[in-house]
Formats: sequence, C-alpha cells, structure tokens
Amino acid sequence: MGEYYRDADQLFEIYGYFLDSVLQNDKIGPKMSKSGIIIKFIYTDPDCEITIDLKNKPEKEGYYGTFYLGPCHLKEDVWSKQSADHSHRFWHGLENPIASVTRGKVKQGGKITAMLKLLPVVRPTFGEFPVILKEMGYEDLIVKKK
Amino acid sequence: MSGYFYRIADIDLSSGNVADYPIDHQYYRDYIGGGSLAARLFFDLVKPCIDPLSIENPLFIMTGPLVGTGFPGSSRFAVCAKSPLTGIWGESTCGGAFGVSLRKNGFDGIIIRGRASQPVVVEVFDGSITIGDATNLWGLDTYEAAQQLKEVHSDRKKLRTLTIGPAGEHRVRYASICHDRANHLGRTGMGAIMGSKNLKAIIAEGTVSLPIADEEEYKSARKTTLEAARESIVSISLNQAGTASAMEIGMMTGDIPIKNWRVGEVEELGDELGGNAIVEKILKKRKACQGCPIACKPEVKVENTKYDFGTGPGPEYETLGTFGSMLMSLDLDAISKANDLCNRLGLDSISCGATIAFIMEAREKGFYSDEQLDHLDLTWGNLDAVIELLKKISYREGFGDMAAEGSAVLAENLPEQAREFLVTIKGLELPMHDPRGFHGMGLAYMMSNRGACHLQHSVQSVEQCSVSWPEAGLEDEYTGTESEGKAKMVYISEGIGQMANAICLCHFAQWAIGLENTLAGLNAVTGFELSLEDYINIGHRSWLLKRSLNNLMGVREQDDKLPGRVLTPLDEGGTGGTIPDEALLKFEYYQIRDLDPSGIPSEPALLKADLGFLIEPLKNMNS
Ligand code: SF4
Repeated sequence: MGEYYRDADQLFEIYGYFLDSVLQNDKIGPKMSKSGIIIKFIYTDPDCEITIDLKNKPEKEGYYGTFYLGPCHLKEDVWSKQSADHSHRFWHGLENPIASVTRGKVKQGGKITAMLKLLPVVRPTFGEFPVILKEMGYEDLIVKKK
Repeated sequence: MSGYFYRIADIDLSSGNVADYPIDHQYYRDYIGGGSLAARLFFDLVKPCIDPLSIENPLFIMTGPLVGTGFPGSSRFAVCAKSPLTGIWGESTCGGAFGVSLRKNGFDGIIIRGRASQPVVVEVFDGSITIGDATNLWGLDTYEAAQQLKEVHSDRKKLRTLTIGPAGEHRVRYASICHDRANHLGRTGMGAIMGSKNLKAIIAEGTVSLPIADEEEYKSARKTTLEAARESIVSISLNQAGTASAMEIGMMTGDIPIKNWRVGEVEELGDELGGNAIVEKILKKRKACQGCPIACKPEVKVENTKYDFGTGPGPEYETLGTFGSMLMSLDLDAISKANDLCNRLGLDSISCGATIAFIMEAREKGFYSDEQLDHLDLTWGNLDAVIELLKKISYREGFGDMAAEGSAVLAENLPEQAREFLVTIKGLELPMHDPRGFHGMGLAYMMSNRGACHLQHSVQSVEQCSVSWPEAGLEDEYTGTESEGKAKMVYISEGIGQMANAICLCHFAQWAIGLENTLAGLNAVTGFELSLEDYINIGHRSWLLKRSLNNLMGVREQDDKLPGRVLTPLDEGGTGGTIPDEALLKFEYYQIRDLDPSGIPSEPALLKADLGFLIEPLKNMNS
C-alpha cells in the first residue's frame, strides 16, 4: 500500500468529498463541464478507478458533472493511470504535470487534446484539496511543500 | 571524415561572381555546421564594427551534416549575419526542405556578399549557381513571389524557395525570410539583410547523393531514432495538439505572458487559443518538415469571417502569444489573419507582436497621441487596428516607419519612464515564456547570444521537464521558480542547444529522440566518433565564439540583464509572487562559464575550447 491511503474505501471517501465540492463549485464546475469529456483515473496502491463524466447531462441537480467511484459503464475519451500517492501530491499542486508524464509516473491514453482541455481548469483546485482534507479531519494527510 | 561536401559557395552580388570559398576542412570537425560554422566564417571575413545593412555584412546560409539524410527532424538550416535589429550576432533557423535542396546541390552552405544593382534571385540548380533578374518580383509579397518562381520553373517539381516580402524590401529591422509559405526565418531581421542586398529570393533544387561515413551504422541509428520519435510522448503531443498545446500547459505553469507581461492570468486563454481550440475551430491538417515523423505544423482554414484568408499555415504558440495574450485578444480568426499577414509581408511575428504590445501600453500611458499613431485605435484587443499597422510597418508608412525599428528604438525615443515596460534583452524582444515562472529561462535569456531567445539552448525542455538527460550532467527534475543552482543547468543546456543548432536539428525532435540517438546519427554520418562530452563541448565552443563576436561588437556585462517588467512579481497566475534572483543567477553563471567581470571569456576558457585565436582580438578591442 502507498504512503497516504489505507485502502480504496478511504480514497473514495476523500475523492468523493473533493469531487462533490469541485463539481458543485460555480467557479470551477462550469469550466470543467466546458471540456465536454469523460475521463477515467486509474489508481494503483490501492488499486481502484474513478470516472468523471463531463460530457453527459449531470445526474444530480446543482452539479456540473457526474463522477463514479469504482468500475463504470461509460467509455472514456481519455484515461490516466498513476499511483494513488502521486495523485495525492498532484492535487496539492506538488507534482509537475509535464514531468509526471515524460518520466512515466503518469501514463495516459486517448486523445491528448482532451486531456489538455482540463489543464487550465486544474490549478485553482490545488488550493481546495488541502482545505477539504482538513474539513474531513484528515489533517495528517496534508502534504507540506518542502 | 564524411558527412560534408566541403563546399561553401561564395557569391558576390556586387560583381556577379560566384566561386567556391576555400574553407579549412578542420572547421567542420570543430564547428559542425549551422550557426556555429557561420560564426567562425563571420569571424574570418567580417569586421565587427560594420553597419548591418551595409554591403560589408555577408549573409551566411548554412546546413549541417545530417540535413537531407532523412534523419528525423534534421531538415533545418541557419541564416546568419550581424543583426540589423540588435547590432550583434544574428541567427535564425528554419525547417521545411530548403536546406535539403541546398545540400542536394553539393553545397554545405553559401555566403552572399555585396549588393546587387537591381533586384535579383539566386538560383541553385544541378550543382551550380546563377544570379537571375528579379525586378518583376520586387514589390510582391512572399507567397506571390514564391508562386511566380514556381510557375517560371514549373519543370522543377521539388523547387524550394526563400523569399522576402515588402518588410524585407523596406528593411524593417525585424523582417523575416519565408520558406515555401509554412516556414519562416523570423528572428533578428535576416529578411532586412536580404532586402539591403536587393536579393528578393533564393531558390534551389538538386539531386546529388549525400556523403555518409558508415551507411550500415547510419541505417541502424535512423531506424532506432524513428522508433523513439514515434513513441515519444513529446511527439504524440506535438502531433495531436501542436505547439499551441503550450497555451493550456502555460495556463497552469504561468509560462504565458499577458498584456505586455503585466497580467498573470486570463482564464479563457487555454480554452480560446490552446491546442484544443486550434484543432476544433480551424485545423485542416498537420504538415511536417521534410522527413519528420512528428508533423507538428498546423495548416488551418479561416473563412466566412472578415479575417478570411482561406487555407494556409496557422499560428504557432509564439504567435498566439504575441498577437493573442500579449495584445489581449482571444479571437483565433483575427490572430490567424495577423499571422498570415506576417507570413506574407515577411515580418517576425514575435518581435512584431511584442513591439505592438509595447506601443499599446505606451499609448495607454499617454506617450503617443492618436495623431502620432496615424489615428489607428491601438487599444488592447483591437486586432483590426493591428492588422492595419502591420501593413504600415512593412511599407514604412507613417507611424509604421518608426514601429519598423523595433520596440527598443521606440523606447529610446520616448521619455525615460517608457523603458519600464520595454521587454527586450540586447535589443531583441522576449519570446513567449515567462522567466518569472522559470528562473533558468531568465538566465538563458540574459546570456543568449542573439538576444533574448528560447532556442539558443535547451532550457525550455530541461527546466519544464519535457526531457530528462542525466547523462549530460543534468538533474532529473527542476522546479521552475527556483534560482539557486540553475546556472549549471543553463550552462549544460547551452552546450546541448548550440549543438542542435550546429547540426541543424529541430529542438522538438531532439526532445523526442534524446541525446544518445542524436549522437549516434551524427557519428554515423560524419565518422567523428564523438563522445557525449565532446558533443556538448563543441556546443560550448560555439557559445564562446558567438559571445566573443558579441564582445567585439560591444556587448559587456551590463548587457546581461533582465528587463524590469519581468523582475516585477505578478499578483496572480502560475508565476504569482515570484521573480528570478537575477544577481545570484548571473553570479553563479559567470563562475561556471568563466567570464571576467566585464563579461568577456577568460583566456583559460578560450584556450580550453581551442579558441586561442580570439585572445588577441579581445585584448585589443579596447586599445
Ligand atoms: S517537430 Fe515540427 S518543426 Fe520540428 S522538424 Fe518536425 S515538423 Fe518540423
């Protein structure tokens, strides 16, 4: 198992809370939705996956997209595979996205252009992630910048 | 030794004579080719103090040993001279296929001296060179002139053209040279040098086989390199999203300058001008330089708008920056039109767009009246006025005559406060990468020998982590917003980048294929048996030679500095709150590069690089 997550349930708990917040955020949500893609995140240690659907009409009122914790029937436009630890540091803004891909820490498939759509949207969420960890009582999981 | 023809054509436009220049064969081993070999020939032939637009300033068109061999990304060539924009070393490189055609005539390069009494075209066919009349081409734009030449030589199916437009004819100091529409020698005003020589065009077609030292080695190196190029994530990204993908990435990292470098973020930039926007809104297809498997160049279609220009080469990242984010426009059609006009009129879209950004800010701050600007409404985002200005610049009409001198000259003619928003180094407008987000890039700009440049070194790829080259002594990863220790990174990256330019290899291709494959290809073609250390050291020799030429042209320590605007932190965006530590970067760099306090290479540094012949001229320059 990795450094930060006990198991897939804990990862789903944290990312579920985070995505709930981000996909209802009136500043970030519309920009995410504008990308119009379905993206699948595949994690290792713990092994699990999350799919975010920014293409179809959101299932829930007040949301700008729908996310699925665990296997999902939707066909993704782009997938991204990485360790759960790497993803955890990424959402803190502590991983260089270019280095992550060129050094093979993140593997991705599908249309690169689809992935690019999300990049400008991601940075404002970096501030959110530690805040959410604190709210959830997971202060011990907040990664400090060295 | 192989990989070369050992032939440099020497053309004197004043007398009409064409001869072979008696080049010392050792120069090929010592300088390889491209801008590096041109710099050595420049030292031998040119007095540093000349006026760049005089007949004493030769134009050097140089290729490299891999050009034409089909090695991925190796179809480039360099055009060099003393720059009319900066007054120092001028160098511009370009892809396409002209370099290949020149080599297929049995020439490694050509030197063009003097000035023709009337417009001429230099024709390089079947191994020989003639000078033809081009009076009927003078006044045409770059595309029209190329088209006419293709019609006249319609029997030559692989004819390659270099043409200048009205900007070159009118000696706009940042005039470019256009190669077959899609490729441009933009930086440092080489189009104005052609204009000053009454040289409208150079055309070439040839069929000579290229000399390769070890055919079997070469085939194997090429095969491995092609596979590496196809698999690399750099190639895949460039092919799918083009250089414009740097917009989306730059929105995260803060790499993109906005509103003449004074705003940190415009949320819609990535969406409106990024790689995705190009693909979805205007892309027709991707094109490639000859033999390149990456194919990053966008061919676009803009029609049914007032910016209609049909189908043609689309804007690359740098132009999306200079005419988009820098001028506060998110109109992709209008930016594409401005790009098309720069191509046709023959203007460097970086210096031109950046100069217009300077003008817009000067106007906003009250330094120019509407009357001085010929009543053009040069307010932020107004690309209609910009498009009008492009024409005025190219023909030097009205205010365009002043704007044709570049932003540094404009600032000199305004009150002192205008320098606060002048963003040049050694007279060259900065390219579209913000040193506040990448401090190493700031140092690389300061020390670049053609003025602020992102392609005289490999810093962009190394510092942004597109590549990992520990075998060259580089760290695996760098943090953009740190200054400490970056001098070593810049130093090594200069050696690597100078060599890419000497070989005439595309930087993107080198990112994709890596150093080992590049070296294998070079050794197989030339038989030089260079180690990676030798390879980088030749790059250092090239850097030191160009620096010494610049010293002879007056460059000193005080010229190695960042403009005040990029030493002012931004409040928001990816670079928010950070600036490069200019003093630390420079201090560490001067130590590593062994420059004396006045910015001149030390004697030991010159001797170590086998550049002892520079010691006396550098000593004597002040006496
Ligand atoms: S990567 Fe692009 S610019 Fe470089 S050689 Fe290939 S097509 Fe030309």
